[in-house]
Amino acid sequence: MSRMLSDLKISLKHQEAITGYIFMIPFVLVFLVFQFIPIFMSFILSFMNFNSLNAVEKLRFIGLANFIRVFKDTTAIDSYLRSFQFSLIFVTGMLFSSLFMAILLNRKFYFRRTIRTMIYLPYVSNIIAISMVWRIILEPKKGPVNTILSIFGSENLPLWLNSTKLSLPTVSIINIWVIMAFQTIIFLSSLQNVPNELYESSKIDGTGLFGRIFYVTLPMISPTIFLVIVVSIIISFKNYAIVLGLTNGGGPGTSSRVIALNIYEEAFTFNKYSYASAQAVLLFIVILIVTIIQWKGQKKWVHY
Amino acid sequence: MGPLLKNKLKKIIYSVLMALIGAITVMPFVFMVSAAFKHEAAVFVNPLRIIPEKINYNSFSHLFSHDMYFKWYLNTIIMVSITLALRFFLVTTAAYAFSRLNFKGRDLIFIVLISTMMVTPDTTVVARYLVFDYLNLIDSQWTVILTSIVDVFFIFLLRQFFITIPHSLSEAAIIDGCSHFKVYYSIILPLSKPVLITMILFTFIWAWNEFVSAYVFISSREKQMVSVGLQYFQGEVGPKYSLQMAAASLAVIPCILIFAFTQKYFVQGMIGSGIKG
Repeated sequence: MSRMLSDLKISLKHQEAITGYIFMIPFVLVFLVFQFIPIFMSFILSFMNFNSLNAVEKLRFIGLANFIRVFKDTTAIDSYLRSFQFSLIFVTGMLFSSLFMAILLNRKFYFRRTIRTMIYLPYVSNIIAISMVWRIILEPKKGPVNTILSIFGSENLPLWLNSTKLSLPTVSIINIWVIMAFQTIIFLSSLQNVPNELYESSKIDGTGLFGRIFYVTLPMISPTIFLVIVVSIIISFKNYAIVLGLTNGGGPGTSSRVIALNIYEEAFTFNKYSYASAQAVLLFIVILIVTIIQWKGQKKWVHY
Repeated sequence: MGPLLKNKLKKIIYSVLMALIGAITVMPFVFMVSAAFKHEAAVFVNPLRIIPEKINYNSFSHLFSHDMYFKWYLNTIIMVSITLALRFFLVTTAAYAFSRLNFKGRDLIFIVLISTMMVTPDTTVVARYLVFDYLNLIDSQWTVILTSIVDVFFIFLLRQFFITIPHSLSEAAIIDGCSHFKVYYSIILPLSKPVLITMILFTFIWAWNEFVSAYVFISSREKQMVSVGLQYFQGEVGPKYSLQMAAASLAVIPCILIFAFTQKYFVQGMIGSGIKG
């Protein structure tokens, strides 16, 4: 009897393993072909000479040549710098506005659900539709924003997306408006975990509202602040769609040509597959290094 | 004034303030819908006027006679449906294997999957293009579908959920001779409804709004989806802003409606995604 039971157990284990593979294989196969192999290929490509359609017959490895070329290519370097500028504006603006919004939302008020839905709405909306609206809203001559500014007597009306100076920051700030729901929700859920007694005791101590935010709230949610910064930096470099939608592909001139735009153009306009991959791999490495530095640096200010 | 009344007054003032912030946030959407119903020449006459002087349906009737707009819309609906079905199947089965079945190499494969989440889609776009080209898939809607159905994030999210379902439930069924497929289908899936709804909603919204893959991999105008279609449309009609806004309004409506009624599930899903770091 016990022999039969252990036989049954072994056969069930065996059966379980086989079922495991069967259940996993569809996903893993599709993943392998369309995600995993492309990751490897990207790195391999960046060391090759696949820089025109004619190169197919004589493909070979050319070491670091593509990478060295990037550093001599001022168009590419400028694009990286624009991406960093975009990211800096996005991450700082995002941190303050989403935290502020979460603190505001973390109280009881009427129509809370409806108002929250309104605030989260941009996040679920089509990025090209949103771009079309903002282009009209920010239209320099007759658009609503400049109309309001002129009512208040402003004379040198900003050109917004048509200005070489303002286009990049404008896109970055619109991107904050689009994505903010994500960070706000994360902050809100961590604010709700701050025990109320802490506030009560600081109230008794006579600490004011800002004191409470600085000495109670912020230290308590520092792990979340860290998380939001890390995630926001990664998100800030995924800006191809919004930049393309708002600026006609990096305009005016090249003033908002970020590195993502540069990569896509090198690849799909000029068929420089290897060179584009090298630029993409370089961007990946930069983001990776920034993330690692943050992980190392967090000990100084994140309290778990 | 009693303290109760004072508190109530405070709450009312605070609510008004929050409503104001909400209104400012959705202003662009209000402008979009308002401009869509304005006469083309009236869009900028008084841009601050929200309710048009005369409601004008011209832009929508122009849109309905456009040769492609509804084709793009239909293409999007088909693509989103296929993506939903395939992602649901692939992700739930794999998450079941990773959370409730023991086999050699399971944890290693899972770690490899998770670690690829660091690599952004921009990094691999060239390689994916070459893979699709090799498989003769360029200019097909499958390029958009195949890239998005294998989303590791949802494996992670579902696995977290499946793990919490007591093992005693499935063990009893297995001893009774139930197959694992039966356990997956009639025990695990029904118990995981909230997280499955989260996945379906996110998939719908992301797929509906997908832009980059379609823009890069699909070149035929008639095969496009709403996002890229809008981009073409904007170029074609030029400064006909009311018409542009009518097209944009119809493109955002499905997601906004779904979101408005299912906010709870989105919030749960996003908090889950916060864990992913």
